[in-house]
Amino acid sequence: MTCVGCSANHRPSGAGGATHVRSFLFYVPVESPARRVNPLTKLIVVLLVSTLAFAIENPYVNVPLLIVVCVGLALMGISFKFLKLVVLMMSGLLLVTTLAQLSFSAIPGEVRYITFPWGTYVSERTLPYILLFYVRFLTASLVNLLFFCTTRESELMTALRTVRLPYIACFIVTFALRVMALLLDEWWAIVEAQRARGMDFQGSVSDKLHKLERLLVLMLSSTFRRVNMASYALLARGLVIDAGPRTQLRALAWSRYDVAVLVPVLSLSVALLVARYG
Amino acid sequence: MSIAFQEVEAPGTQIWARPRVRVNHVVVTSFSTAIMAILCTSAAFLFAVVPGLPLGFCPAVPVMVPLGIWFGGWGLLAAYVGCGIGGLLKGVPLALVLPWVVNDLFMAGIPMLAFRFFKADPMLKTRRDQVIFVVFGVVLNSLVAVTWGTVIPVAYGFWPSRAVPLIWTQYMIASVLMLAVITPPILRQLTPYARRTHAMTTGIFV
Repeated sequence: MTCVGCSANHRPSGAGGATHVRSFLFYVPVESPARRVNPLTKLIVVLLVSTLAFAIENPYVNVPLLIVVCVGLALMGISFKFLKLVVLMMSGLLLVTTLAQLSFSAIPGEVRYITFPWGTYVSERTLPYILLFYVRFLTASLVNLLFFCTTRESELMTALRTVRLPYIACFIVTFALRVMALLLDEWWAIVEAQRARGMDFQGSVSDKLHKLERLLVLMLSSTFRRVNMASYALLARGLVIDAGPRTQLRALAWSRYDVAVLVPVLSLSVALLVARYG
Repeated sequence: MSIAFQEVEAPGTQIWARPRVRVNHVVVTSFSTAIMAILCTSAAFLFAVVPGLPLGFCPAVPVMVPLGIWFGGWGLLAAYVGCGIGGLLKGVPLALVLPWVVNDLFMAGIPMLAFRFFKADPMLKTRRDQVIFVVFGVVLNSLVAVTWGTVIPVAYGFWPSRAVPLIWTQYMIASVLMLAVITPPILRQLTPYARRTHAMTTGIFV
């Protein structure tokens, strides 16, 4: 099975990979505590922590929060070698942010190192501000990673159904996550086929746009061919759109692990938000 | 002894019944969502302005406009959810992704509504269709979506408000270029394929 995140095979070798189970992004150890926590709990934690990271701008809160999230990742058995992929993915946005903050911010300080002609400047407080932003961004991103690394598509479906989202909306999201790996393989097959025919992805902006157009047309036409096949398969299996309320194969069960995770995170979030805005 | 009466529909009821949501709509939305997520993540690296960094053109933009025109509200749903998943996979926090990707609703929704209101042909056969596409599918939707997409990160401290004009200009140029160059060939070449999926809509959802 190919990993969605980087189209590489992450299944651990040895012992037939039986010690790990597949999550949405990677393989996680069977005994990882994250597998005992309810997916809805994880979703609430992701939402709370990422909101906290952006709502509160204080190094005495943000740095400990990042440390807690990193400890959480380690406890859940998620290897830190996967983080380099995430950092690469984030690098674009972080680079834009850094350049924009350096060139266009005017954070008052005692010393002005550089003053730009358009009136903004770099003071001794600019760099700490950018570093604090990195900390807040990393906290929120790593919590996302925690969710994607420890949750399966079917668990996500159960969680979304529990918050009373319409069945079709949940089905669309989980089915999309499931076909992503398939379409990602197809995308790279198309790219490799075009490379084999001599297409390189360099050149002027106009060249790049025309090459992108060719790839997109191929990708979309092959996807539309799959749509009919998938529709027939789903109809043959009895999928009815307006069938009314449905029962679920897997019921959402609450355990003491959920309480152990949810109660501290909820109380901490409420306390911090009250302290900030109260 | 009880007799069960089966209600029999009058002949022709099925034929003249209002169109309903079909499985094809759901499947097309799922596949489109997956494509959008892939284009937001892996594909972005191929066309990077800075080698190795996903900066520059987002390949999802020229695809979401045809999806909206072909599949209506399903296309919008695919654009929103797909770009949301793509953003999360790129490491953008959930609290930022939810409001940020609303710009994709504007990007795909404005041409969708315009094509339905003016009854324009998605294959852009006449000059009128082309003008409608340029006004609503290249310029107006980019203006609204780019403005939203530039202002929301300011609220989260991603960049200072003084940087907005520069980022807005870069974002707008990239968006208009991609929509003007890539989207028309996609619409012309792939509208027959989209029709064959039996998921094209004339209204919003059917």
